[in-house]
Amino acid sequence: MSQDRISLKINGRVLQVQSGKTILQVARENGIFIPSLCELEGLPAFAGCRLCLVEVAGKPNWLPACQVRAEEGMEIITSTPELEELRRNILQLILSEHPYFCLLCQEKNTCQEEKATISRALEPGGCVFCQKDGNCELQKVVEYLKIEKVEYSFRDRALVLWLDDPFIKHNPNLCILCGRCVRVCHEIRGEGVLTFAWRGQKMEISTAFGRRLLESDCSFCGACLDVCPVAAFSEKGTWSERNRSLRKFNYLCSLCSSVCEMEVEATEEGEILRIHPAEENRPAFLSGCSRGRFGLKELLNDTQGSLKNLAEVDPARRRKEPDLASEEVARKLKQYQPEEMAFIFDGQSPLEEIINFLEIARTLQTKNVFWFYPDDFLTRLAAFEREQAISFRRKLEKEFISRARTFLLVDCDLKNEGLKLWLQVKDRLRQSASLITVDSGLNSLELQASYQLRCRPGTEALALVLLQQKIIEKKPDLDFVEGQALWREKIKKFPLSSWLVRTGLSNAQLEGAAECLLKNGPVVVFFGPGLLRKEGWKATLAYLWNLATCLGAELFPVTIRVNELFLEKLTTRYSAKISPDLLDISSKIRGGEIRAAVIQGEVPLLVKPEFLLVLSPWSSTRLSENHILWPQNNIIFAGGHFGDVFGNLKKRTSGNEVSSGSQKLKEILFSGEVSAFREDELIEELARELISEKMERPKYVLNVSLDEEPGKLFTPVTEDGFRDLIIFIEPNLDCYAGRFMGKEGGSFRLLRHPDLLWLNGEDILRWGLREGQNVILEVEGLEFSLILKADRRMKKQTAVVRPDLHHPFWIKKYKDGLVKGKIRVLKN
Amino acid sequence: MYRILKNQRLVPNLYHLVVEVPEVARSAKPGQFVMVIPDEKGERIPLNLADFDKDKGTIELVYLVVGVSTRKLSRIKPGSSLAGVAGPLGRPTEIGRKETVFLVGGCFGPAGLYPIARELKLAGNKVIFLTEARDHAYVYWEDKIKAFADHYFNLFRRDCFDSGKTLETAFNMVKLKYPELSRVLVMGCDYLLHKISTLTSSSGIKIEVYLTPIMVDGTGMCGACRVTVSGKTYFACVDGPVFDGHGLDWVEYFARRQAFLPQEQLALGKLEILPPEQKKT
Ligand SMILES: Cc1cc2nc3c(=O)[nH]c(=O)nc-3n(C[C@H](O)[C@H](O)[C@H](O)COP(=O)(O)OP(=O)(O)OC[C@H]3O[C@@H](n4cnc5c(N)ncnc54)[C@H](O)[C@@H]3O)c2cc1C
Ligand code: SF4
Ligand code: SF4
Ligand code: SF4
Ligand code: FES
Ligand code: FES
Repeated sequence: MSQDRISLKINGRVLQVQSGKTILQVARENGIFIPSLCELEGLPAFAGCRLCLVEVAGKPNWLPACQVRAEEGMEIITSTPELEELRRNILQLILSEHPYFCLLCQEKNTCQEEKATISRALEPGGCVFCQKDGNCELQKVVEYLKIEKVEYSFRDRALVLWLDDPFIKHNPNLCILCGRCVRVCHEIRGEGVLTFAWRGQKMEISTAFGRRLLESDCSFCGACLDVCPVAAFSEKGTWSERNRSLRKFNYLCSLCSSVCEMEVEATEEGEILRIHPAEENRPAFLSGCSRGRFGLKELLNDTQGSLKNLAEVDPARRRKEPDLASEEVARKLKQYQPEEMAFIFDGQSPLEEIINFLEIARTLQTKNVFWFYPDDFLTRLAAFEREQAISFRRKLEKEFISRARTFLLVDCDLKNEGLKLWLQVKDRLRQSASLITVDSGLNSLELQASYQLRCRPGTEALALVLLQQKIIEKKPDLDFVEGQALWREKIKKFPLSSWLVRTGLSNAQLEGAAECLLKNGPVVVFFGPGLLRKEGWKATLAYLWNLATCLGAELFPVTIRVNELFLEKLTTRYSAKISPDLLDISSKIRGGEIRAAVIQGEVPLLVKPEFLLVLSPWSSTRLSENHILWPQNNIIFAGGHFGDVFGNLKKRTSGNEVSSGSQKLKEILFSGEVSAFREDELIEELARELISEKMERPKYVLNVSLDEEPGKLFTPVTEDGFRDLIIFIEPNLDCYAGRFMGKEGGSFRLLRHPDLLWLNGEDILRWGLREGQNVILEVEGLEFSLILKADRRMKKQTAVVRPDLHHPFWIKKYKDGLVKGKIRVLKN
Repeated sequence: MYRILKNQRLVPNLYHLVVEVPEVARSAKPGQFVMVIPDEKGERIPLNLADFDKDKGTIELVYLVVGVSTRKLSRIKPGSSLAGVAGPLGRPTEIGRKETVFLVGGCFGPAGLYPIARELKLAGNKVIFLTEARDHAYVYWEDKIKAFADHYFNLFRRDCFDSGKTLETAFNMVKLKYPELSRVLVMGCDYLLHKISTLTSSSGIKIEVYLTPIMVDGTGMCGACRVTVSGKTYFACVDGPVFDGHGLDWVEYFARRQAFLPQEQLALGKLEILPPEQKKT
């Protein structure tokens, strides 16, 4: 349908265009300018500013071009004296509440030169003082409409500025009420933090109860900054670019599997001012998150090691890899037997670097090659696939999402674990697809779900069986796959009613979800690593497979770490091992079996061997004397390929060629010997493999043995258990090369940092605690000092921690997903 | 301690501060300024006295929020205190008798000129007062000033593009109406000071501008506030802050004023991104 072409006339010109577009889109594509302010490509239409009104033959009223779709035979006039007059009038009304003087003033330029205080006003009284000067959409429209004066005198709304949030500030007195921020926050990002509010006579942008963003579930995605046409929303610590030279370039963010393309802006001295999404052909607000834009900026600015790199933004002046130590490194490494060496990498680097690293290990014939990977998600998944002789689909095709009408998320907080995937799902939800969540922990998407199955901790498997039972009840003839009948008989034998009690779910919830799954196909099911980190995960996964099978649904594992899917392939190819904790290697070092190690990235190796070579982005990494540090390009300089959550490869398009410690190492170790090897060819091959692998939708149900009953361990803690908790241990991605954002004292620690303990606000109250308080968490005889943080989405008597997974205790517990604990208050 | 009685937004970006500083209030004269330190870690910044009350022991200041120190000032709540106030500093404005004086103020200027207008008027001078602002929404203290002005009027930036009224036409109008005009006092942003000095250069009338060079100690010791007027060097903090607008070396003045712009900008950025609770003073 949408492929149909229609023919229409704009300003007398006959145009052949694709149907389904708005008049504004059609005009824009054909070089016809219609002024607009509230419209933004990619946002749902709002038709609030009325600047884009056009005349359509046969219609009694002017129509907003941003909202009305172009139709066959339409005759549109975009500009008449009346329309221009109307627009000028509308714009003047907007301007009467926006400091417009510099927009019209001829002396703007001289005044700018002479006023020493330019662009730093708290509240700009005109463009000369404004952060957005030179880059403002209001300026552009005023220019187009040739506004020379404003009939109305300026009205100062005198609204209170928002200055108390980290990273983001808001000046409501500049706001033109275009509603873009509300729409992006609500409909695109699915956060729903911003709304329009009336305060007496005055309308303004607000949050629920006028709370600050920090207390309003704001994820600090920064999308409101990206869409605001004026300087009403702006990033703290940034200023107008006029008359200043900034260094800017794009890079790929490898902090999670979304691999967003970002632009960094830095001063000549190397201070990062701003990081923001900058993907080609994609609206900025469809990528980027607090971690990538604000956390990383703080981390890099606070960490001296990177500043040095930054000062040398210019590739020509960029720090060269040290040649001094290279002879020594080669000599030393060659002293050891292959079995005495270990090679460990962390996976956040470009694939080229990792492949080089693996090649070196192979050439040196060592078998001790490890990928440090706290989630052994894919290892577990692969083991399960082997056991059951099935395979899960890894590569996520666009159509699966664009066709789906129901999404089922099982232990998967898609917003945090696969942002870009979530934004696509959210797009479908806007087009009336449904969302169902099955989760016992903190799922930030629950509030958007049509059905939330918030089961008790560790009872996901039971919930899945119960859900399936409801489906079978509703549709007894669901018998199109192998093994279905057998499975159905089996389900009947489960103690379903006692399971229902154990999960804490209600019949009605299950009924509703089952109904939705049956009626609104196709269904796509996502599960995250959390599911495989729980007691009895194999049964849970089998039940999930069976559920998906009987629904004919697609089933995908969501990988949250960059490169994960490709590294899985690489580790097989290079017979590298996956090591979630490095305990084994440490004990081998201690026992003298391993005497030398080469580490790429920053991994928590607790015992240092005789010889250690670290390829790290942090020049400040401390090592003892006979250990060597080689600087590696840090995240914003790293050039090369990265693998994302969809199973796609992304290559940095601008700037840096691959240049890294591992490449250098390869050259000095075997100059010439491995020249036949080309990492780019290998990368392409991997990508092809991922596409062509036959991974099919589940077609038969698995025969799961009955004694695999999950959730046994976690009988719920008693309701009256004072400060007793079941704690979910979640991954912490707010970390780059072993350094945690928010640990260095910046604002990021107000959002998320490894020492926070998330609790339900009610629990906090009824236990006499308060948010922000320091508490001691006792777990299995150990004590951790943590800070309380309230989240209303938490279930009662559960908590979430996102600890530093370099800590041996947490990494051990992380694999189990859950742990019981108790809160104690510090006495002082 | 210098207790704050009031700290309120007057018009966009301009704040009105009332502080208890009896020592200053006792000896202050119109045209003088004080050095203010917003918080323990703060720098000293000079601000003109916008009023003072010997009996109450209070002084009033009106400041524009531009950089780190003024940003900090704007966040201090009434009831708490300033870390330091020193003054009065600078030479008081000369108050003659039976002169016709034209006062032109922009941004914080009308506030600083207010006590001067009062003193002039009480001494029997004819006071003509012009407030230059973007629009009516930026005008403050109009009634207060009118009480001591024989002729008060506003000139809006809007007027320039609406009706062609500019500083030049305003000046000519005043000259026509008051041919005896002998003194013009200008206080506000550098742009206003420079503009008026330029357009009156051939009028034969004395232009006195209240300069705002960067100051460090405010006592003639550091040399930060050095300006050149008619070939001679002065320190604005002790010899000024008022100088002859026609004799001033404007090029040097602007250059010195903007010398630390990049550092100031960076410092402000740093202040902004500090976590909210660390910013509290
Ligand atoms: C005698 C005198 C009287 C003044 N009276 C007023 C007044 O009544 N109201 C008002 O709003 N402003 C007044 N100023 C200007 C005011 O001092 C500056 O705006 C203020 O110091 C800025 O400090 P900041 O830290 O907020 O900004 P910064 O980031 O430090 O700088 C902003 C701008 O102010 C200038 N500046 C910075 N430090 C000083 C300094 N110590 N002395 C002078 N200028 C500086 C710089 O040239 C810079 O362009 C006066 C200045 C002088 C010299
Ligand atoms: S938002 Fe735009 S129009 Fe408004 S003051 Fe800033 S630059 Fe000027
Ligand atoms: S940062 Fe994101 S979540 Fe927060 S208000 Fe802006 S758009 Fe909404
Ligand atoms: S804050 Fe910006 S984006 Fe939001 S309504 Fe106002 S002008 Fe539009
Ligand atoms: S752009 Fe169409 S109404 Fe605003
Ligand atoms: S401020 Fe130091 S000499 Fe004037």
